[in-house]
Amino acid sequence: MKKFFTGLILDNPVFGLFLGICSTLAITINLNNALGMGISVILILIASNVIISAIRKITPDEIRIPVYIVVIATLVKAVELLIKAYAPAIDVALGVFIPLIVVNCIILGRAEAFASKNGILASAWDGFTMGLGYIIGLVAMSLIREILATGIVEMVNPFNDALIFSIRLVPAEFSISMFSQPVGAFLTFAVLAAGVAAVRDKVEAQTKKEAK
Amino acid sequence: MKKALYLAAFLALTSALAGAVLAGVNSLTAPIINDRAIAAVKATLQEFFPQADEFSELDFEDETGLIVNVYEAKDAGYAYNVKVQGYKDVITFVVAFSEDAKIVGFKVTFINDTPGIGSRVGEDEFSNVVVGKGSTDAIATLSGATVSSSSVVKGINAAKAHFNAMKGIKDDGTSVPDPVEPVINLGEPVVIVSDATSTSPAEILEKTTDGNITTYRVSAKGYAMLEDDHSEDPKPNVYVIKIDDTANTVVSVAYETFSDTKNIGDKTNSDTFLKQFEGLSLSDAEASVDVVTGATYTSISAARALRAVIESR
Repeated sequence: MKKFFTGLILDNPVFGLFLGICSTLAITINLNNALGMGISVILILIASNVIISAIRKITPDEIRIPVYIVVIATLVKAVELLIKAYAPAIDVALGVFIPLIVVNCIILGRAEAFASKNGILASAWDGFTMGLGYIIGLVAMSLIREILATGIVEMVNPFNDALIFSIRLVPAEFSISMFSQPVGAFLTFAVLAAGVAAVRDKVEAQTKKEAK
Repeated sequence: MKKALYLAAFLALTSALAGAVLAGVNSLTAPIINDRAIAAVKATLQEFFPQADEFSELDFEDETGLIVNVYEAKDAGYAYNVKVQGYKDVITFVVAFSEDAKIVGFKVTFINDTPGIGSRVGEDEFSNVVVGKGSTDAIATLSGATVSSSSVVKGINAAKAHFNAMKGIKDDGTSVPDPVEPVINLGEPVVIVSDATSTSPAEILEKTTDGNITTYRVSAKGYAMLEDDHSEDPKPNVYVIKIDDTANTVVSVAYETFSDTKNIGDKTNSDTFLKQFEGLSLSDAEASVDVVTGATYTSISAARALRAVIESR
């Protein structure tokens, strides 16, 4: 279990493997967007991993990438239609980044690196942990940015737009609106990625020492 | 060769399956997405087509780029959400056509033009002109609100063109618009002898007496002279004021020369405004007339003219 959690942090797809950064930088303006994006991605990731693992024995090696793309694109389009129909607020907030999940490299990366070589259950679990890592990355980024930029943490039910909670942590006069801008995204990302790298270096040094 | 065929067939099969899945999801979500798209305008559509119960949004092509959405009310007609550039901001409106090619509804949903002038296209004065017209009838612009109403008419024409093309109706473009009678609304009262009329006193040009009726020709500065209306040679308005000397009342006030802004100030040259002067007592310090909304300066110039007469007696 300890290994699972260190894996989530140290091999985090966003801060450890630097996958799916484009959407991470763009949509982590607030917690709601981050959760909407994260949940969409984890569902697509699990489903695509399962499907690709299920058809891995009949998929000809030469055309495996086009087949993966078709599978992923279908799932993304289906999720996009469902979001448009049932959670229009998420659709408005995330806009083009929902269809762009197709090119989120976490999904194609896991299809190629894991699902195409492993069984269905293992692939589903891989999709879940990777997706969870992505959600953790998004939530960490969005919490820092939202609190610094507005001083408020807010959550809204995307299905009926009802406010779930809204807490002011920092008085309005101390908010730094720069953090809702792209420059704030880069700063936050750099600091978090550096932190993860520092912890990993330490852990690696520790294991080396123990090995000696 | 065999391998290549197998690869092609496999990819085709995968794509076909994907297409089938998406068709399924689409048929499930399309009605909900459509409902959400028209939820915002549904109340307006229902107002225009009270008997219709099924609305949907249509895909459309529009060369003018003015039409934003096209909605179909099943078996009742079509409504167009149109956005045009007004005098200082955009104007959005919905115009609805019935199946028998009549305009059955017109409603301005956003307007930010000059109150009392451009804003008139958002009022009944204009919608009464539009509603009831056929899809090939030309629509007149409002004089005095030419910029705002022309752009709205342009938007209506875009909707008409789309509707006619869709229905196969030929618009020969020969229809001539019925002119719109200006609507004169009276606003705040102005007391004849008050601060409002004390500046730029009017000048009596001529005084003639015939029995107990004295006739004055009075020159009073209106909008053209007091506010620069950009005319090259601004002139005062000249009024003919008749006074009954025995009763000490006004018999009539009329224009000899009108020199202010056409289509705006000349609303004061109407019975609605000028009849107010008749019978006013010259000794009544509180005597007042209501100014014409949108033509306040010109209205006050008429009051100044009367004040000059009162003060000369």
